[in-house]
Amino acid sequence: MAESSTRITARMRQDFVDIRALVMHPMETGNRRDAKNQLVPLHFIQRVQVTHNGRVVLDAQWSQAIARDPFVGIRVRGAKPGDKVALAWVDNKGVRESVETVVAA
Amino acid sequence: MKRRSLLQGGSALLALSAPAWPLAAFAQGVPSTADWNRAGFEAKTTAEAIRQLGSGTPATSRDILIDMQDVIENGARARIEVTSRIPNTQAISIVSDRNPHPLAATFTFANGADPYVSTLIKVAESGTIRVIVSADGRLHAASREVKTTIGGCG
Repeated sequence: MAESSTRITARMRQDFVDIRALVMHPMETGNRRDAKNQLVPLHFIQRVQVTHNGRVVLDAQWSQAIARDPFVGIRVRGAKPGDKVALAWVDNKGVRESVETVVAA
Repeated sequence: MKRRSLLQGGSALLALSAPAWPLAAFAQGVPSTADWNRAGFEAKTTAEAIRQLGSGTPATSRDILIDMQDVIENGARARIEVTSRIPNTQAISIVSDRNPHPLAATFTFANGADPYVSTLIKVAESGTIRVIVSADGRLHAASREVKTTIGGCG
């Protein structure tokens, strides 16, 4: 889907890994009107999961009140450089995307 | 298209066979919308939204830290950072009282994730931002008053 894309970084800070993700997504509330004064339908990410070496560390449920092009930052203990971190999301239209990275030192 | 419907079918089966939400949520694989908290997210008042997060009235807590600006320049992108110091915090929910649907998000942590989240939310107008923490089956709450210069739910 051309209108969305996801980026993720995972970097070691002292004793935790700092995971940050940015998703390009319109997060439409259903209340906005377009140039032709038509309501733009509700379109938002409902569920986000982050895994560390395959184990779920964050399971998020979202509404349309998360800002357009969502950002999420979390911190995970017990991680080390080279570990795998992945994020997957699904929106209310059934669009899905997932990305993976490795923990940087 | 075929792959997507197969995936959704599988997730729905998983949700049906799982005994409770937290277990379904941590089932491996792709996230599912089957057990999304529809009643909570579609609630039109804060009181109703909080009822859909757990049982009992949340206890006011000083161990929930809400970092956000007092004056929000752009309500469409309000930064919020939440840290819970409550032992065994399982989930952090963010509620904006004056939004058409107050419950904005619920973040559930496991497997070494700190009870911390940083994100950007929409704040419709000046009012109260609440954070509800779920820990050991009990709810805890903290709140913050914010002013918005430009509202964010258009």
